[in-house]
Amino acid sequence: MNKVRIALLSVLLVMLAAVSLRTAPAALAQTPTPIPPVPRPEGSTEVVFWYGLGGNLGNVILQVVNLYNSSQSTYYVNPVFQASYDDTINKINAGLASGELPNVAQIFEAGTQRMIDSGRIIPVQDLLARDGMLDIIDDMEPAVRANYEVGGILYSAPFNSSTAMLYINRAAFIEAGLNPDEPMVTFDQVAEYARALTVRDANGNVIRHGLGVYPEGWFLEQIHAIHDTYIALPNNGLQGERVTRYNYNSPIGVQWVEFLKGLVDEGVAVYYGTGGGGASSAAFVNGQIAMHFASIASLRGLISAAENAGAGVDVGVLYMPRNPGATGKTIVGGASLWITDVGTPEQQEGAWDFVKFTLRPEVQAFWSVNTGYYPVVRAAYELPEMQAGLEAYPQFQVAIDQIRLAEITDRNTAHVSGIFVPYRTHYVQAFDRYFNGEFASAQEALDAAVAISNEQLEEYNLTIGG
Amino acid sequence: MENELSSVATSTATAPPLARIQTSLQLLERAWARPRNRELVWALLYCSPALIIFFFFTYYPFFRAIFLSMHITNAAGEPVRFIGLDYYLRVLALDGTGRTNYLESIATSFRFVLMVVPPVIILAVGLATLATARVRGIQIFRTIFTSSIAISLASAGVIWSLIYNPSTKATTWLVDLLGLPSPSLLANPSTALPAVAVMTIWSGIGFNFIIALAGMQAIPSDLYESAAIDGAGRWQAFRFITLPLLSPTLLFLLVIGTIGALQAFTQFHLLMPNAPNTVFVYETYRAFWYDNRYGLASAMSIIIFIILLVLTLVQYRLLNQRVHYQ
Repeated sequence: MNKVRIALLSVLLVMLAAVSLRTAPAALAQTPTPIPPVPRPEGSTEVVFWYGLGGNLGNVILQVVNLYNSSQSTYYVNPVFQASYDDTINKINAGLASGELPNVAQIFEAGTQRMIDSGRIIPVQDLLARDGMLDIIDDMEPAVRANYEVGGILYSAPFNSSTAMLYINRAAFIEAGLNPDEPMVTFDQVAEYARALTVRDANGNVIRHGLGVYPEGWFLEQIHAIHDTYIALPNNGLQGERVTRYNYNSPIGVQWVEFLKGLVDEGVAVYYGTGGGGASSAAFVNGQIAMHFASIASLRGLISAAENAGAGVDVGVLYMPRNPGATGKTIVGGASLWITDVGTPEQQEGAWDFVKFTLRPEVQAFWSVNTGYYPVVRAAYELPEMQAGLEAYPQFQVAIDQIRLAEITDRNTAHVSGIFVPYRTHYVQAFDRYFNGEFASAQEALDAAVAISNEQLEEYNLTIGG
Repeated sequence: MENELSSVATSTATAPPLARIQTSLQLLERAWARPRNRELVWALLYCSPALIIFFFFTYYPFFRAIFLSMHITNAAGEPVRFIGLDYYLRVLALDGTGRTNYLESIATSFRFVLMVVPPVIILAVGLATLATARVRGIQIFRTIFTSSIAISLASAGVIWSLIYNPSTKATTWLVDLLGLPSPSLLANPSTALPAVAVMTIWSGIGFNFIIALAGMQAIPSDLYESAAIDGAGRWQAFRFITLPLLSPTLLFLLVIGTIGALQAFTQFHLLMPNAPNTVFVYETYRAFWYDNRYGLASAMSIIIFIILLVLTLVQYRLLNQRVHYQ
């Protein structure tokens, strides 16, 4: 019997040991207080609105909806959270068969082609023209407007727009004698920074890496845009002709992947794997890495997480890196509001009325200040709350400057494609396989990924043709 | 029956309408007179709630999937072009392009089964052996060993994603110990699958433990008493009494466990989203939800169905001969 007792005890001990090895993660996500909806006025027309942003960003969306609902009593916007951008477009796809579609949907730019192809949407430009409001389009941030214009038609109303940044720990920069205030950086500079920022202990173990690396299609698109290279042909799909093949096995695509791989191999960058964005930002706010790639929309979150972590990280931003002489600019990411043709004419009018409301300068300023996305209309910059926001967070100005670095061309505008989401996965997986030694070179990895993307693109285009 | 039908068929061809109805009524009456037929009708009636549900949620989707698997579909899931078995050939890498990504994921699924099923059964049987001990407070241990059954896979996945987070000490310690290139266990191809397997084993222990314990408690104690009189030790009793009499239970756990592990999805969805080298079911999900290739996803689900069917039949065939039923 004693042996049994010992065995039982040891099982218990193993479990206890497992518990004690665990320590609480440094920065746990804070759950935002829910925003209660305003009551629905009697006799109002319900407008169903699907959105895909959660957490604090989702809460600001609910605040915008409440602002709208209290501003008038004819329509009542009913916001329905769809868990993520991916889930929203997936549910739209499912809705195409069942007919269950919202009146307004927030869709990321990866869904643009699919939304157009759905045949169930009303182009925002038609509604603006009908109401004599086309001057709103002229006031839109040019890079943002270009992002949602396909073949010269603005299909959806830009709502939340951002771009990619290289986040830096300013304190570490100053400590290493580097300049954190010169945003324009080359690949070589970033490599030098990474080396200078990497800190080793007495035994040669790295305690801080220069850069965090994870595969992300959006960054690959940024690099192509900066270097005036189409990611999909012809013309990134923006001239009304469908893209028929992907081009991200281009020299610049290969250079980008090799650049990151080189830094990881050198030991000055650390690789967090697919879906490693969260791990990389956690490491950044905890001071375990000194540079991190992310959207400008993450700025507020990263600043408060860095404060909570208390590791002395001072969050700054630089432009995405480039080759000397590159003449492009980063592209805009984020989402826009799409109006569908479902429901009664009153509901469609209500949908349009709500979308118009979100384009107002004061709403855009409210949205921008509380989230970190750009205002999509430039008139918002003249409002005092927006100016106060820019003063409090000068990093935003860097991001705004970055999307204004060059004239808008199809090359530096997000492409449209029916397999936008899948292509990103193909890239991410090839990237990961190369980093894990399954491919001999980035060229080989990207060639393989492009072959899979093109196979699927061809199939998608076939289904649209009939 | 056949003769009756054919005679009625020939007679109705020439008979006037009224007579035709009469003959069919007679036929029905005659059929109803047979107790076997009556029973069949009643049986169908009683089973109809289940049959209707099965029809709409199992049989219809099943045949629809076979149909879709031979078509390219559009965004609304309607077939656009018939392509025969092209998708099956693509998945099984028989289409001549040398793209083996789906075939590899089938191999990954089988590796995952091997990593999960034998350990979880061995651990569960081990714990069940301990839990049969007559010591005070054994109920507490039984509760502890069972507890993982109460935690859904989704919650377990979230818990383990926190454990595997590179910023936790347990993970950092293990990564340093193994000398891994990336700080995340889930990002290294050599550790990702084992890490998910460990989580799955942990999650499955509760269920396997309960079944194994129930199986052990069903073994009559007089067998152990007589074995003890014959001088059998603890190990011999386990080896020659417990294991053989537990074999039906073990077969059940093996079959259920294999099917479960081959269909594992939640943990991969939570722990390794987007990762290459994932399991086949997750690839099927990706093909459906992310690639919107409903035809391809259907073909993949038919393939996993055939694999499961064959595997289960083989397991029963091979092992049934070696299983001792009382």
